[in-house]
Amino acid sequence: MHHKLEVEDGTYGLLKGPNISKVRLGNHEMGTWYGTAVYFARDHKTLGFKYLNGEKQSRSKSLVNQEETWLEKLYVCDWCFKYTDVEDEFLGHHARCSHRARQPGQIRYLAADVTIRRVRGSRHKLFTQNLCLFTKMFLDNKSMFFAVDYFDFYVVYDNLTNKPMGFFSKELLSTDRNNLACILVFPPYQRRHLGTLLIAFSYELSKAERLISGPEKPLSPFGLMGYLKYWSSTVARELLYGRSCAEDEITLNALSRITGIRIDDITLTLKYMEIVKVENNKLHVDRGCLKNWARKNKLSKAPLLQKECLLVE
Amino acid sequence: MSEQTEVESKRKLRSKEEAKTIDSSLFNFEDDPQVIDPDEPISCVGHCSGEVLKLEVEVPFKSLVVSDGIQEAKNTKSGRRSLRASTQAKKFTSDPLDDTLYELYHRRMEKEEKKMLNRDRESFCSEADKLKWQLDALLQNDWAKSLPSITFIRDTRDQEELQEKREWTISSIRQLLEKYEDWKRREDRVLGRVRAHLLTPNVGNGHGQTHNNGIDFRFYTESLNKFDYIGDSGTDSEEENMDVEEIKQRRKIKNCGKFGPSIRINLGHNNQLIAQPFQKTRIENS
Repeated sequence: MHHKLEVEDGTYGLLKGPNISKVRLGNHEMGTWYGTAVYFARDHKTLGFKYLNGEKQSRSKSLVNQEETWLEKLYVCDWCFKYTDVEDEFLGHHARCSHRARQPGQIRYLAADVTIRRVRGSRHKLFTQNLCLFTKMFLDNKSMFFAVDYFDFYVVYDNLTNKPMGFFSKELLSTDRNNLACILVFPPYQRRHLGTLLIAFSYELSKAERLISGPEKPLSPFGLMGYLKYWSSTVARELLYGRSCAEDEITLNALSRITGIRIDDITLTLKYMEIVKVENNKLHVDRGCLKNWARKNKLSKAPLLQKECLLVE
Repeated sequence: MSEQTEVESKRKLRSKEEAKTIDSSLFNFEDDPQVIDPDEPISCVGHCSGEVLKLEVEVPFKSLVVSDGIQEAKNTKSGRRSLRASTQAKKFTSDPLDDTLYELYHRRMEKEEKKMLNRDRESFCSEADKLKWQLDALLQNDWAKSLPSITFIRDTRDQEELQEKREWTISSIRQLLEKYEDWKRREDRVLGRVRAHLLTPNVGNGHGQTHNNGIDFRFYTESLNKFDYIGDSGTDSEEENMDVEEIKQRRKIKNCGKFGPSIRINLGHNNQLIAQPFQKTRIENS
């Protein structure tokens, strides 16, 4: 296949800028954030699956931006992530998509408003491949789209519409025993704290396995932002309301064991929060600064994830 | 776990300032002021006027603003969406985006990606081979000759430094090799998942190893990781309209059938012997 070289040269799927102008996800339409070559055949305009099925795109590329735009609009089903560049095909499929009535995978978290389902890449190959392909338009550093066998996907669904709103993937054979490979809340559903919920859930999975774990590095700027938010709230909650609240002394090791967060990540978090001070060559947590931090960041006493809704054991 | 993280953080030093002068392929045990000892006590005080520990690099959150730009989609041809969609559904007698359309392309691309994965796997394995070779060298009589090619040494004539760093290097290599062996074990299990699933005996199904009223005691040990066995089933439609408690109960019954029940034997004096799958058998006083 023509993509062979791109797979081998280490820049697989990476492009300088977005190459699809707009994407329609169900009834939402939005611009894309990053370029993706993996949807396309080597001619940079025909979708790979159509090219191999003998179809060749005759339309010329966008007149506005010939270099960068490979496709004006991609249509993606918001139930199953199947994709096409033809509106009629999308509408015809969307009306009868089999994932409408039945969501894939097994329930792992069941709250009043959302459900998190574990979808195995090996069992739901096309669904998870299409999910990865869609994700590339909004994540810069994603490099695995088709070899999904050794990944589990945790997809968060809206209980009212039964539509997927975001997900994270977890590598089954991670050499560092990471608990998360990549995470995305789809643009229409952002700013609902779903990212924090998914991150919190990924740590609950590790805790059930009695593992101190964390995400694959390096983190994207958005990933780091999401993680610092979760890590700092978790550490603050532990120091203010947890077992450590009355302690005169703590250690990174103890904090790591209680929270399930890696020591390196806790160190980063404490520095980010600016609540640890050095005096006479000794380290101190300044509880005054901690309380100020909590107030400033509107820290709630109860975590976002409800433990009673977990079905991970 | 903590030791492993310590090793990792020590090795991470390579990427910092030291990297300018120290070969990044070497183990590096030089002090890094940015790393906090995981066991160092940090006292919690009401107020402290000392110097604040801050990030070396500022997190550029302010520049991370994503414009909304999400609109409701309009279909190209006129007409209400619901009407349009239903018209389209009728136009096609079957799903115009059937699974089979994607098969050929996705299969080919998967094959290419797997080649890439295999290369990663091979480089991880050869890294482990290198560590094994280094460990061997450090256990030989002439270890002092090999050490400077494995670990950063300030003064090769300083016997104390050499001795100390030899020990640290050996312990770091052993931890990294343990990590590698753990990964190998997991790989065997994950790759053999299908086989393991087929071999999972049901209670009382006449399988070779069942005794005592059909209970197979193979799972009654905490050394087995239950996550390698439990929850391997795919979509479970029966759970769709259940609440959390109902699902928990259902899975408990299912797992009990698969791996055996919770066994309690009264030993007298309120003592109970409790045996459960994937757990250490214990005596509890009730």
